[in-house]
Amino acid sequence: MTTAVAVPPIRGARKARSPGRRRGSKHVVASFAKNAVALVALVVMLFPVYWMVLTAFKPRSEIITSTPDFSPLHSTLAGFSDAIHKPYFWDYVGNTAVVSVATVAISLAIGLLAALALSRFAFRGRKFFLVVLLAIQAVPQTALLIPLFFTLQRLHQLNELSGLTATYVIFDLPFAIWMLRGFVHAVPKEVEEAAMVDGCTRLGAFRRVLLPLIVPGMVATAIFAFIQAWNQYVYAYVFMQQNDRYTLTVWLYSFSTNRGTDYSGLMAASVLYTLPVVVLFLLVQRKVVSGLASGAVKG
Amino acid sequence: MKLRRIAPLCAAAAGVAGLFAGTIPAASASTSLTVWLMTGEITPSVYNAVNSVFEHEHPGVSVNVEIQQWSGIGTKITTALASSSPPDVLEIGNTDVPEFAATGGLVNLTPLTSKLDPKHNWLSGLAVPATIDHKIYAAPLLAGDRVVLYNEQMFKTAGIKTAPASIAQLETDGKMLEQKFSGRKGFSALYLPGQYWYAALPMLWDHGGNIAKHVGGKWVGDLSSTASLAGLDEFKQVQNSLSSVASRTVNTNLPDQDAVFASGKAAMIVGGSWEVAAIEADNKGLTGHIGEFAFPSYKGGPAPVFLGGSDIAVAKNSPNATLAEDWIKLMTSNTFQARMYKADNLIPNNTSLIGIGRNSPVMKTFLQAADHSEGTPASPGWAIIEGDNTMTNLFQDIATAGSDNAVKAIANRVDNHLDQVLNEQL
Amino acid sequence: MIVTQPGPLTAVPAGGSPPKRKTGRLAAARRRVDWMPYWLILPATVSLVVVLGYPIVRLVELSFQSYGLTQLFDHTTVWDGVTNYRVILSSGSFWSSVLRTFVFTASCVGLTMVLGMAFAHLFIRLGKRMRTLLSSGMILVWAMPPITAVLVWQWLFANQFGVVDWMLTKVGLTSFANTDWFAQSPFSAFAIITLMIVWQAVPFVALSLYAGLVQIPGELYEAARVDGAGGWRTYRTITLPLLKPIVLLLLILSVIWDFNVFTQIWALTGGGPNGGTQTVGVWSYVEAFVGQSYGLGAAASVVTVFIVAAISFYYVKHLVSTSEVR
Repeated sequence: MTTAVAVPPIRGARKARSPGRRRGSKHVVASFAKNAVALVALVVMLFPVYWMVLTAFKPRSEIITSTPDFSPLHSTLAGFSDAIHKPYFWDYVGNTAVVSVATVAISLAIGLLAALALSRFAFRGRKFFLVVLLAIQAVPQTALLIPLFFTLQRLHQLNELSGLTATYVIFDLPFAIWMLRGFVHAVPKEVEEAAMVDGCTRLGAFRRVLLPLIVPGMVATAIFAFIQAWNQYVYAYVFMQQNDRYTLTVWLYSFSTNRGTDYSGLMAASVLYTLPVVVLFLLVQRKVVSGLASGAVKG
Repeated sequence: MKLRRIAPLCAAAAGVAGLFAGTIPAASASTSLTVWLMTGEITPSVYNAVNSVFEHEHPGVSVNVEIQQWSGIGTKITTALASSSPPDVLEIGNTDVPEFAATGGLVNLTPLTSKLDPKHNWLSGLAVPATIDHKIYAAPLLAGDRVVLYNEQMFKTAGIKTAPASIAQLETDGKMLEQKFSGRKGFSALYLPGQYWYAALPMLWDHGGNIAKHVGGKWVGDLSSTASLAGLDEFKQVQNSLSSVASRTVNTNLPDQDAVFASGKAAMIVGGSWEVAAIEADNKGLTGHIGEFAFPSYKGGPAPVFLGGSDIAVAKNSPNATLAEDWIKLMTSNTFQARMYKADNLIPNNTSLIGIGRNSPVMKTFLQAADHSEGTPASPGWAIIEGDNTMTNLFQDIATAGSDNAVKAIANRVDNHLDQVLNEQL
Repeated sequence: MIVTQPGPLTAVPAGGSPPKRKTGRLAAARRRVDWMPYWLILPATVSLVVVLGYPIVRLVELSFQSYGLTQLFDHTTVWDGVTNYRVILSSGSFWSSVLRTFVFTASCVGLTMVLGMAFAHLFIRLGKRMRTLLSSGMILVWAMPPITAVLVWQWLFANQFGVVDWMLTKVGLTSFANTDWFAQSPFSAFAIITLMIVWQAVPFVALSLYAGLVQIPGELYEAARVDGAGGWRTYRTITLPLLKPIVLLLLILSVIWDFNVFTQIWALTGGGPNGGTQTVGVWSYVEAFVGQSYGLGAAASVVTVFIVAAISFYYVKHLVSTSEVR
């Protein structure tokens, strides 16, 4: 089987290349049906999110009512104002940004290297390594908290963003390696070797042929790692010792005290909290799609 | 195209660089005393005042106050006390204190009690949990209790002239309120969630009952004693007759009982002083129209209250134990306790200051009620009982129980659990 | 520089290939160790060993100790032999929680994979704008912090003033109104918890499967079409086999994660009613972590790892053996 593939073939790119394709009525109905299904799915999935956004704009008194209000009677930005004016908010933003970005970058880099080794080479200890990675994933994070605390203490990494990042990275690494290995594995070795035949170096083959193909998989892995780091509370709270060193999750949990919860503040905070993830996804997605499309056009 | 590749790398590099910015140690010229206080209680105006006096008395020492969140605080304190550089002073909730006092994480403050509490009038609900084998490991810091908050306008409409002073009167008044406001869907004369054990315990203690007794060096569950059963039955009676059916399986948070009160779905709730402000924020029409009375005893008069609150301790591994103790001396002194009350409406740590609120219409009742308080068993195993939802399940089960025999069976079951857990060595 | 690798030689087009050694020296070539893979996994290995090495060793050690706050603060060690394991393995409530967890995990994973596949196929067929909209919505769901998600689901299903309650009443199913979904029966409680877990897990599975679908070379579909294969046959012979590795991978990861779910269950039901929703994660928390019995908790973790390892044994065996076929 000769598969001289230098083009990353993507469904989307396909459609982009033939805009003038005639659409019969059958296509129109099918297209309408697909979009309808997508919209219904969207509404159902997003209902809890909608409820969160809704509550963020409600004044305290309207949050629990006997008849649910599907739109706020008196919408207010008080929740949002409370949320942003909490002490150290901007410190937390900075800390969280640094830790999350670093975690993703490091996990992907280290993970990709390991994934390449595990899927492109056959070496002694490969099976063992894979099994150990899977076993690590099965250990509950709660159980590791105290031993990790002492490890970081010994390494003088407590209360340091680098220590927190290191913790997040090793939580992500087993998963990232397994995922990336799966995606690399799905690309046949022949594809890279064909490129090398055409004169690419090994690194060149990797960059020009393999990498574009596994980018969607890398994106999924990266988002997972990002969300893990972004949503981590206990470790951030316990490993950091100073008020200006916490992450945004600590800010999120600060709306719940022993005297009750500030619901509109918490919902407003949650809305603000999820936005960066979506923005990042949209940015990355656009790059990914444009990168793939340009690769496709190149031929 | 090259730019696309570089941008993420730059971000990563910036990220990594940012991490190490924090690792460069700052040069310190003086000693620093680290104090951990819980969020939402003592405000900066109070502790800054303490700090300036302290720093004046100890030149060269600066105080650093770190505010802590409630969620995960048990884990945070555990790791902190076990670490080589714990905070010097830390505030610990009075129900969490036995666990840390009994296991060697805190400094024994008994030698200081003569200075800290010369008149021996620390609130027992705060002092007893910190005392293990006649040694005290933390000083009482602040307290909060709960009394009945009532809607004065509703009482007037229903023709109730004075606040009920006994359980019997409470039930009669409750029936009048039910009759008047039965039109409101899900109305409760006294909204008492089934899981709300802080409000249920007073009834237990009122009849002379107890959660557990310390007998011959061992903890024994006491819920199935005659006295306790009388208290549990009273809870069931009051809850079932005065509170809505839907309230039997929930706690005060969902739905928020302040919202229930503010929306007119309840004429009475059992709440803390901070809830008055929360209700007024929800419904401005109620401002100034919320009355308070202590939860009544079946004998007439007030029932004992459940005292929530915190103690303040010195970490065993702290290198500045003496300084820490000096800070505690200041914070627990009557001067600053009075200041804390005035600024933050927190009940001070000893009975001599109860009269401080006599001129405040709202706080007066809360302070008076604190005079007669009881606490949870001072066993380190109590942390487990709170953590595994034994108390919330106990009262929820009683509220939903079908008969008195069922209540007895529940009490026996929980007693067995208490027998086992309260005697565990942590 | 092209590196020759030991191991099964892959079939390459006759036109060009890495220079093959003559048969006589092939054995020697095979014996030469290729250091490249070891260099590649070095960063991962070093990171894991440095940060996680001691904790894992310590965890196993702790499982043989009686270790609580007293030992933690006093730095003493009390060896306990296999007591912790004996306590766990002889506990009736532990085994019922294991059984419950199996059923719970199976339903969560099953639903997640089916819905994830459905969404992935939907993604492929959608236009770019709709796909971006739907996938962004999924990211929103995925990124919602657990504390908020739990709260919102509690509000939606609150027995008084809850939206679901209101909707059921409006639709006329008044017999279901005022149900205490979380407290009345383990089944209804598990149903809601499963829904919530699946709801938040689907986005990741859908996007990963979509990534997998997108990787399949279009040429294969072209070739199949040219050969006259219909839609279903193409799907069976091309799509499914190529998607299978990723599906299996997501399956095993989901099993591992869902087996250990704790936070949401604890927040929604506390393991109730009457322990009816107590999974292994909840059991470990209630029996060990709530009382800070780290020895027992460590043993529970080790037992959990063994159970999960047993479940994933066949998968790992299959996976590792198939990759050797290459």
